[in-house]
Amino acid sequence: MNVTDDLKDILIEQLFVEVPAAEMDPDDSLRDVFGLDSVGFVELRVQCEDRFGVSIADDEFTPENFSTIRTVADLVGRLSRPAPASA
Amino acid sequence: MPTPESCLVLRKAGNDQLIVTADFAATGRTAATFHDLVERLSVDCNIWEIAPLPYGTEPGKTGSDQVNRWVKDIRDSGMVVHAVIGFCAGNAYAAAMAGQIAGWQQAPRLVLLDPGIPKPVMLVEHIQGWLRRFSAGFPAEEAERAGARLDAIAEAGDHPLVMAAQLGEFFGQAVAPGLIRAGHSQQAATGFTKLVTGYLYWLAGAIQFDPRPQWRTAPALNSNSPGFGLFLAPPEERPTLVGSARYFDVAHFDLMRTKDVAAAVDQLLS
Repeated sequence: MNVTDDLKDILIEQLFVEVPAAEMDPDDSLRDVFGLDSVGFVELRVQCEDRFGVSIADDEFTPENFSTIRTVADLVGRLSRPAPASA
Repeated sequence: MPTPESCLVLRKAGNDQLIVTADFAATGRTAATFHDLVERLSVDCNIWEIAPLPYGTEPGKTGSDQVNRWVKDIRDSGMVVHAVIGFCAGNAYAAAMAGQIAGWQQAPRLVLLDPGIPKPVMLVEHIQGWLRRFSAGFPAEEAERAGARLDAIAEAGDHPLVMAAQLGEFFGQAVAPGLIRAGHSQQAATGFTKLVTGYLYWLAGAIQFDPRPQWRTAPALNSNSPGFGLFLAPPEERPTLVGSARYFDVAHFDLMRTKDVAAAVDQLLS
């Protein structure tokens, strides 16, 4: 499974989104299409931290980063990469 | 451009002009955010949005403490503040920031979106809304006890910062269990309690200010939603509360994702 598939799994299993995974477009709005509310977004943040082993800081928990499956996957990807070694 | 600690960067521009926006933009809330509005603006400026205090650090921090934190980063950026835009209760902070910024540069433009003067009752109403939503599955006695406790906090009429602390604690004890019963995890319930508490402190800080002197000359763009923006003021006060008012046939929740509103903001900033 890749991050996008994992996110679809979280939306269905943990957030009870009633859209089949095959019909989820990575660019669909999490709020407008999948119906997440403010509690749901906090749950998604928690589940991402658990599933992907990342820590999402308050200033990363923004409407921009949590707009679609793709933007969340991008955020998880960025947070998963090891920080560049300092000189 | 330095990365501000107390603000989020909504747009970067290749110049030294800055617009500051004031709102409590909880991710996923129903009302459109400045993120939505900025997507629709054509103005060529850097745009920042004030961020609330880090969760858990709010106790004891006044509205002035919060404004000073944002204004320090704004001043340290070295940029020229072209405008400050507020939304809802954020207009109180917008006015306070604009007043301080005018102390070291030409006064920035102030633009008000659905400006309503924040009041202590709003703290209680916010929590009442969550209690109504999540107490559906509570046993009758538990729901009654929670309602009585909330009424007692409202009737005590303590200082807004004290009320924020009490209501945040109340949310964690009386409402958060409802989130878990609704299928959310303990971590999400804890995280959401922090978010709600952060909002309470943010709103309590805004209540400290009387924004009317700055609002009196500023343009307001208002939604058609009763109970929001200028509709919060008695009809006889509305004409003198702001410099000018333009009403849009759009709900409060959609104000910042409406093309005509974005065009009006662009015009006010040009």
